Amino acid sequence: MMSFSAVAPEIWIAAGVLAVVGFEALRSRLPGNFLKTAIPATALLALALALIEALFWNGASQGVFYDGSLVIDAFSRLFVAAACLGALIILFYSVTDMERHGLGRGEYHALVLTATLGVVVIITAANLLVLYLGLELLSLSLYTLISIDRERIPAAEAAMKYFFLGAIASGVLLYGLSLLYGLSGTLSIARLSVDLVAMGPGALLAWVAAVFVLVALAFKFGAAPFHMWVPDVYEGAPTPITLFVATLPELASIALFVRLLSSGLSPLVRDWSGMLIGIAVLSLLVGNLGALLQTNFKRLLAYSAIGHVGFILLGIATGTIRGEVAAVYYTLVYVLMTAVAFGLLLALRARGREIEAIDDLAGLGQSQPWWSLLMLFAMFSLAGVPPFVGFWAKLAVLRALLAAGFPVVAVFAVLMAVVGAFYYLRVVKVMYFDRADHPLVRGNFSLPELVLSLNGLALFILGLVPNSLWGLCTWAIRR
Amino acid sequence: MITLTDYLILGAILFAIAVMGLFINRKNLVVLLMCVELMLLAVNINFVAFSRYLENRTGQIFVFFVLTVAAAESAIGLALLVVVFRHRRSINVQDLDQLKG
Repeated sequence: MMSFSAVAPEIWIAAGVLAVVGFEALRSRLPGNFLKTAIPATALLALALALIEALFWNGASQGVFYDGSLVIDAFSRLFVAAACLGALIILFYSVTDMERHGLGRGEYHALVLTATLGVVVIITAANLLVLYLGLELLSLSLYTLISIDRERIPAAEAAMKYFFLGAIASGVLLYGLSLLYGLSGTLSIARLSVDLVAMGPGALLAWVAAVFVLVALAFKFGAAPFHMWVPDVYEGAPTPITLFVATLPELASIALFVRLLSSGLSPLVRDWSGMLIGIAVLSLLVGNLGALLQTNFKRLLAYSAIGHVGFILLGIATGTIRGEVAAVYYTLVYVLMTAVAFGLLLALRARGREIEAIDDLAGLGQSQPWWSLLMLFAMFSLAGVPPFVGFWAKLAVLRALLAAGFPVVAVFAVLMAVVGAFYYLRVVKVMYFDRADHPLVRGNFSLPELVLSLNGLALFILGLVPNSLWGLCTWAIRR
Repeated sequence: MITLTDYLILGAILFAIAVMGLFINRKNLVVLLMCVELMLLAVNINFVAFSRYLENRTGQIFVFFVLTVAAAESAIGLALLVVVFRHRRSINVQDLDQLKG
């Protein structure tokens, strides 16, 4: 029986894209004030409906759909809901800022929706072809989003760099997928792992395919040594877009790792686990040491992202269910923390413009006590200070590492977390103890303030009850 | 007699040429775009060869999707190229050096 309920979230998001494009096509015939509210409202409505669908996908509709194209399981439900919620939050934070840049038009909303659609497709993919199409839908939307402000020269350069590195990553991934197809004669991820087991260990071609897939995924995740694009894109893109690039693609990347590596290539775990440990250790080193040198706040967050990706990959690299749960938990927590940091960047202005340098935050503690408290939450959580939720995420990964028998790597990760604490605490020091030579003002940011405050408080509250989110992640990964 | 291995070697050589082109070329962004295309076409050879060898058509269906996506990708790449050219009056790879650190 053909049913559309399995793709209900995708349908709502796609309908949102069509509605926004339709409004944009009728721009000359519709009143401007109507469009100004109708376009963001349509985008928000589409995402909210998709979120509701994902939350209430009934248990009966679990399984594989459409000739093995899509899989609805606990992981898809949790992550589709997280992606829709993340996109909603991003739209809330960015809507006033994009209008200030004169970019609040339909293109922005349509592209955010298509990128979210790509993330959702990746999360639910059960087939290599569907996975690839979702990845391209996400990447092509991101290339365009980064350069959406045509007058911004660094944005064009950032988009160009991201485009070429992303295109190389897609090509490398495809090459790996073609080898996997040749080895097993199927595109289904579930059947792939069965066929790889039947082939036995030591097949050279399987090893080569695993290397190609791993390199491509590391590229997409922004892990060292394939991280060159991350700082440039974070700095060059307009801040609302950076917020998007820093959050939703991370959900897609962890989904790629869980679907492709931990499920599809699970028989080759001994081949990729060592390589992944190497990539993760290098990311921890590059991210945390690189962040020490930064004066630009967005670049600082970019290097910190590379460091956090290192932690997430350590979880996957253990090759155990427990490590996978820890990685998924870490990703969700990381997205929450990053959303707060970038949301505050969007909410505050120094000298009448966006905050760029870390020094622009000086005196925030006196002039904006509430927002500086939220920034403190975000920084402490990113640094992994208890009782914030970032601490529990780091702890989960470390315990998974110890349980899987990697004590040396765990010690190294702790050392790097200590280095990382230094630059996060420097931000806090600048906020509270440096004198401001200019008043920090809050941009006009009315409705989203509530969402931002809730998001910031969530870092603290989830830190007090770490088991709630952990339980959800365990439920999502169980097989 | 042309065997599967020959096709795979051809695909690997084309892929290697594309990757070398991407990393060696320091002059022209259009050449980079051509290298990306060549990379995807090398993958297509692999898919078609495997599909023929396994007598399984899914590989050839994959090729159609890859071709379509490649077209969309190069359209976006060319659009970005135009934006960069408007600002810089140049499509030299080495001129993309504003962002550093």
